[in-house]
Amino acid sequence: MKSNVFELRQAAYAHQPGHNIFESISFDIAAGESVAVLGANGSGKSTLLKILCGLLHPQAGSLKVFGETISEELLEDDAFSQRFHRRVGFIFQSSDVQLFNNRVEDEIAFGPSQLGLPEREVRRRTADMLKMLDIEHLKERPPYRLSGGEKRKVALAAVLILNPEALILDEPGAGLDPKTQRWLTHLLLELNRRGRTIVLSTHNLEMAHTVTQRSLVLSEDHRLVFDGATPQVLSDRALLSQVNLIDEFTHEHDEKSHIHLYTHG
Amino acid sequence: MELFIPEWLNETDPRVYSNAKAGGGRFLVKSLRSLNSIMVDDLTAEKWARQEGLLQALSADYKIAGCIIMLVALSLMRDYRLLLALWGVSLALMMASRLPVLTLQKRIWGIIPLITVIVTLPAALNLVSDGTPLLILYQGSVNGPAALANPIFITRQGMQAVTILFLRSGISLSMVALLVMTTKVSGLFKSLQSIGIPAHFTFIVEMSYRYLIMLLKISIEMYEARRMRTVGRLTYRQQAALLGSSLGFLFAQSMQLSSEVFQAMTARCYSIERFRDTYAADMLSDSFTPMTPGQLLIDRSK
Ligand SMILES: Nc1ncnc2c1ncn2[C@@H]1O[C@H](COP(=O)(O)OP(=O)(O)O)[C@@H](O)[C@H]1O
Ligand SMILES: [Mg+2]
Repeated sequence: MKSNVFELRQAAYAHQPGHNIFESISFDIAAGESVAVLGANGSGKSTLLKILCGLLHPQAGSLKVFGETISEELLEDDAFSQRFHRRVGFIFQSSDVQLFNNRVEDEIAFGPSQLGLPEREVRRRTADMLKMLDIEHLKERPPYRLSGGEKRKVALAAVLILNPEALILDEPGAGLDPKTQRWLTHLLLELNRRGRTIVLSTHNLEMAHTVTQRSLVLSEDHRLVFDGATPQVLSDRALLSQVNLIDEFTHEHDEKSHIHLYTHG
Repeated sequence: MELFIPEWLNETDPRVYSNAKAGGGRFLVKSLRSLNSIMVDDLTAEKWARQEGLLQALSADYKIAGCIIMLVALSLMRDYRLLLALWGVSLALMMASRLPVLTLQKRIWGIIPLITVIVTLPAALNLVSDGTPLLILYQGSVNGPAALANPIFITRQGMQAVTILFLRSGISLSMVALLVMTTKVSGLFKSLQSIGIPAHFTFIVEMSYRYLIMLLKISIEMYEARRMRTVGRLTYRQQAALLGSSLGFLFAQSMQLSSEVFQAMTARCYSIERFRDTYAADMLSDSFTPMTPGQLLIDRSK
C-alpha cells in the first residue's frame, strides 16, 4: 500500500480575517501520484499549493505531510524545516521572487550548500542541473536579467537540485513557448516515473492531460468540485465550463483524443 | 526528445541531511513576518483609520496642518522639558484615538531615534566639540605617544545635544504616525491636493506608496522562497549578508519593475498632462479602489 504524502483535512483558509477562501477542503495525495489542480484565475490554486508546502497555514483543519502534522510552530524549528523543505520542493508562479543570487550558478548551488553538502558534491550537482535544463550558457548571468522561460528553468534547477520527493509547481507552463512547454511536460513525466510526487496547478488542460492522472478542480467560489481521474474531468464539458475553464467557443479537433481547448487565461 | 537526467535524480534520497539544531528559531523570518503584518495588514487595511477616535473624526486638512506645525515647532525647540511635554501630548492623542500606544511606542523609539543616537554619539565626545566632562572614557597617559596623552570623555553639552536630537526624532515620528494612522490614504492625498500640492505630484506619491507596498509583498514572497531552500541554519552574519544581497536584488528588480510599470502606463496612453486634467481627481476620490499589489503582481506574471 502506498503511503500518503499529503493529507489535508477540512482545511479552512482566509487571507484576511473573516473572508474565508476555503471553507473545508479535504483530500489525500499518495506517494508517486501526479495531480493537477485546475481552476480559473482567482479560484485559489496558488493558495492551495502554498498550504500544501507549508507557506500558508490553514486556520482550521489539519495538514499532514509525510505522516507528520504540519504547524507553523513546527516549521519554525530549523531542523524540522530543513527536513521538510528538502522533501517538498515548490516552484512559485512568478520565478522572479524565487531568484535572489547574483549568478545563475550560485542560485542553483544555494540549496545544497545550505544543507551542508560537500563542496565537490554541490559543484557536481550544479553542473548536472545546468546540463539537464540546458542552461549551461547562462551560468555566469544574473538571474534577474534572464527571460521568463530562462528564469523558470533556473528556478526549477534550484529546487530540483535538492532532489525533493514531492514537487509542487504553480502554473509551471505559463509564459513558456510551446517547445519549452513540451520539454517541461517531458521532464515532469520522467520525474514522476522516477517516483516523485507531482502536484501542479494550471489552466492549461493540455498539460494537465499529458502529465497528470488525477485532477482536483476548484470552482470560482473556491470549492473543490471535482476530485478524480484527469481524462474524466477533461471530457466533462459541463463541469469545465461551469468552473470557467472553457467557454462556448471551445472546439475539439476532429482527430479524436487530441486535446486542444481554448482556455481562459 | 533528448533529456539528460543525472543518476542521483533517479532515486529519491532517503538520507537526512541536517546541519541544523532542533529548536532553533528564525530571527529574520519572524521579523519579516511582523513587518508584513504591520505594513500590509495594518496599513493597507487602514485598520486604525477606520475605527472611531478623536483624530479619526478630524478632517485630514487640519491634521496635516497640525502635523506640519508640530514638526516645525519641534525643529526649533531646544528645551528638553518642552520636548517631553510634546511627547506627553502625542501619547494623549494616541490614547484618545484608540491606537495601540505601547506597540507604537516600541516601534517609534526602537529604530530611527536609536540610529540617530548611534550616528551622532561621536559628536558628544570631547574630540569633536569641547565641553565639561560627563563621563570619562579614557584617562589619558603622560608617558605614551602624544596622540594618546589627552583624556577622552563624553561632554555634558554633547550629551544634551544628542538627547535633544533623540527626543526630536522620536516625537516627530510620533506626530507623523498619528497623522498617517488615523487618516485614510485617499483622504490624505485629497487633502494634500487641497492645500495646493499639484495633482500629478500627489498621484506620483500615491503610486510610490502602492508601489512600496507591492515591493514589500515581493520581498516577503522572496523571503519565503528563500526559506524553502534555506534549509540550513544561517549564522547571524550569513543572514545579514543574505538580507544585503536580497536588498540589492530588490533594488535591481524594482528598477526593472518601475520601468515596466511606466511602459505599461505609456502603453495605455499615459501622459502626465492629460492625466492631471482628466483622471487624477477621479483616482483620488473615495470610490476609487486602488489596485492591490497582488493584482499588479498577478498581472505582471502573465
Ligand atoms: N495575499 C492575499 N491577500 C488577500 N487576498 C488574496 C491574497 N492572495 C490571494 N488572494 C485572493 O485569494 C483568491 C485566490 O487567489 P489565488 O490562490 O492566487 O488564485 P489562483 O492561483 O487560482 O489564481 C483570489 O480571490 C485572490 O484575490
Ligand atoms: Mg495562482
